[in-house]
Amino acid sequence: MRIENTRLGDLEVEDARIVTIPDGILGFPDSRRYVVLDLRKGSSLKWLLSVDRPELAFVVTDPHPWFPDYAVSLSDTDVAALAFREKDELSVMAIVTARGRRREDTTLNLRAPVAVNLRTLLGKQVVLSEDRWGVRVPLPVRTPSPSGATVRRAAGS
Amino acid sequence: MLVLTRKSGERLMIGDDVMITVLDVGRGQVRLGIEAPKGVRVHREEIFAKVIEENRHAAEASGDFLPDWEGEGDED
Repeated sequence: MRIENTRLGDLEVEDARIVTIPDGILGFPDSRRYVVLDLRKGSSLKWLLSVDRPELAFVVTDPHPWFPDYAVSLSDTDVAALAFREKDELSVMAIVTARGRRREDTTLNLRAPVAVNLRTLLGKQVVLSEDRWGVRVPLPVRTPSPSGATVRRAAGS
Repeated sequence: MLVLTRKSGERLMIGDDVMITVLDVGRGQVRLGIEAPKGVRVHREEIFAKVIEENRHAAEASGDFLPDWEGEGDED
């Protein structure tokens, strides 16, 4: 389908890539359909673009390369909302807030990740019960690594 | 809204499997013990307000998102 976005202009997106978030992203209940696109080729950052509101977009990233010990536990309600069956079908994204262009101005919301079931294309912003992860966790100083070997936890998260 | 009065040490049941115990009352605070199945999330309400605020910041900031650091390896 064709979607309008004030940042990226008009885009043609396959219907099969549209993720439905029935509850919306918290604070944005009127947008329920999103599409995930690379920010640029090969980027670890992605757009979470609203299909329903042209001006609405988030930047998201997979938190695991940055925080290897990050784990999300789904409640029974989450499992039902996502029609979740197997671990492989789950994608977890953290919403990125950039208060400036530098890395140190960038934080991840690890307390309320967006979970997407890649099979059913259902998503939910899950608020974790544990206090361990905050809504404004600074990016670690080191660059991410898939192996996690060079990743360090940010201080004061 | 259902309003109930409980004393310290007394309990409330919500449904069949959520139990709330009033542990301590005093000085403008009440301490509650909550026993709920693992699948039930229990939050202080404030965390939702914090998440909503952060989501709004994130949405606003995404408007001119062009990170200098991304994909360029380590810097300084």
